[in-house]
Amino acid sequence: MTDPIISVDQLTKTFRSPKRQGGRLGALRTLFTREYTVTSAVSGISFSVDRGELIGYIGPNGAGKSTTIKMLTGILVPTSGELQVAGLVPWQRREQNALNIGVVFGQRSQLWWDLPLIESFDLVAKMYRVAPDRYRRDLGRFRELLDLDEYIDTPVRQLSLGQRMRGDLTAALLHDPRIVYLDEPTVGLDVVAKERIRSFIEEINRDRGTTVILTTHDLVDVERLCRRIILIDQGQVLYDGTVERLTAMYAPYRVLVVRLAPDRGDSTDGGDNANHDRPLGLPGVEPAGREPGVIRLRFDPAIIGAPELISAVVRRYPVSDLSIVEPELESVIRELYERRPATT
Amino acid sequence: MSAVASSLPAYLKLASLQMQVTHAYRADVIGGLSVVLLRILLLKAVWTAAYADRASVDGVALPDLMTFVTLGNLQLVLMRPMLVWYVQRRIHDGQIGLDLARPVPFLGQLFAQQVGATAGLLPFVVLSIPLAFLVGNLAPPASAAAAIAYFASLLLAFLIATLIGLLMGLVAFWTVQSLGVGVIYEFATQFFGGALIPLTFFPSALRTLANLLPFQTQVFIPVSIYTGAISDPADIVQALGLQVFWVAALSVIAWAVWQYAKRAVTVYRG
Repeated sequence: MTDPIISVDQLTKTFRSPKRQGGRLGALRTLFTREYTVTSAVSGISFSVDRGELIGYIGPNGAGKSTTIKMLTGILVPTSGELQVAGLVPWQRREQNALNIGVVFGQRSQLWWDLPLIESFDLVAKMYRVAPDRYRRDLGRFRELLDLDEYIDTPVRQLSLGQRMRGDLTAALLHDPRIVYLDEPTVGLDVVAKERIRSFIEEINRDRGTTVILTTHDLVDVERLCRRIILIDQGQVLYDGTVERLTAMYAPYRVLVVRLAPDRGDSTDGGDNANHDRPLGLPGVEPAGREPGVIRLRFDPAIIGAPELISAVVRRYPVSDLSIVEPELESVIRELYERRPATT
Repeated sequence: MSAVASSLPAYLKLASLQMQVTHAYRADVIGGLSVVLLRILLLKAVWTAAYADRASVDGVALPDLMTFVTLGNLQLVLMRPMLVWYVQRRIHDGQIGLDLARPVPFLGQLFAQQVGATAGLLPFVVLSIPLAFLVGNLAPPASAAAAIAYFASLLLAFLIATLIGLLMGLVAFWTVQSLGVGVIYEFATQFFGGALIPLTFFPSALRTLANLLPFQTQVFIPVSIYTGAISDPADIVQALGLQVFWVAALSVIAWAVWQYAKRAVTVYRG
């Protein structure tokens, strides 16, 4: 019962492509060359996912996210390593594995471009052998949840990106898969459309217990939806755990933004030149950039509590307003990428 | 077999969708057919001039020749191998990933779509028959038996055309682009199939080559059965047997190539 629904162990995937030959007839020589360039897209990834989890699978472009997803769906054959999805080895039982999963690739569409949206849904129902009454019931629910009715009979090419994405999500979920892989489902959408997709993902994860693997560059998606993230880079797992722990590990700091009272703002600015590295003479507090009338102080809550810092600030400066900024996942990730060893 | 049966509704739906797509692009279909009718018209002008006043050349009368050319070219419209460019486009755009993440075998999906495309073209081709009769010539089949054998042969020709189209398409798994292959293929079916010049007129070396290639089984064999050029029952059986051989051989090759290709899959665009 507690068996993970997905288990990945030391998974690798390398691509081999013929080395391009230059010079005259280079293209022809490339065709017959025996020299290959080997690139490694995924190099030794391990993780496991439990039933019903909603996981953010993130990393910079070219990190190996899509390659992993393609191996999980059975499209690509791994170079080495073990993987199992709902008890099957995907590439060995690609078609059976397909019955257990749903896939959305945000940059592509599985919908039939020239035909009314409903035709693509009918095809999905036939392909995944969804019984007619169940199909009618489930499609009815999606129509309601995603407001499909107004354009379900419109050819897909005439739909907006947001409508198309709702169509693609429906097509991926109509057969009630146990696992769904969402590869950038919010790419290119406006804020309202994004939010709609997010609450829909949240809903199917909660109501149907569908396991969701979400790949995205939009970290708001992750903050909003995922308890756990797997961060990969250069084909390896950089972090696997909760969002909170990641932020605590890599960005323990908060920033106190102090807005100075306007009349004396400028004069105080140069006031503590003597102690620039340690404003207010307090441990665990560093200046974090300043602009006229505003002082930013970065502090470590483990060393100094916010109330203590604030009272020190109020004593020292004429304050008009105060606010505390929590670290964003985005800045955490940025820091993480910047810290990594340089690639060759 | 049970795998095919359980996927049958999916195949039928795929064929029906592809048929609708063909109808959505009916302007293209009509344009394509017009070009074919024009080709028949030009071939008629050339052949009429070549025949001059002779009633027959190598035992082939001009009206029979024109029936051959007309029927051969119409048939090729019907068997237009959509899979050549379809597979290459799916690979090029990375859509192939979605096709492979389906619970239905990929080759079956492709076959169903070619069936749908051809079924979509059928009404257009049938409606153009009177026009084809006017610009070219179309005599009725040689006999009732010839008509029946013709349809059997046509079906086999369709299978052969589909299999070759599929193989050409699978080439794109290695080369990404296979449009060049498609152009060569189109030329080969027209020329070696005998749709431009009946194989009867080929010099012997070229004729031998044509006999060894599968293309003649797509045009020359069915049309010859239709016109009665192949009329002896034993010859008909032999001709159909040759077609069956090609269906079997090409099926095995396509299957083997696919087993290899699916290991070599690279999905483009992230």
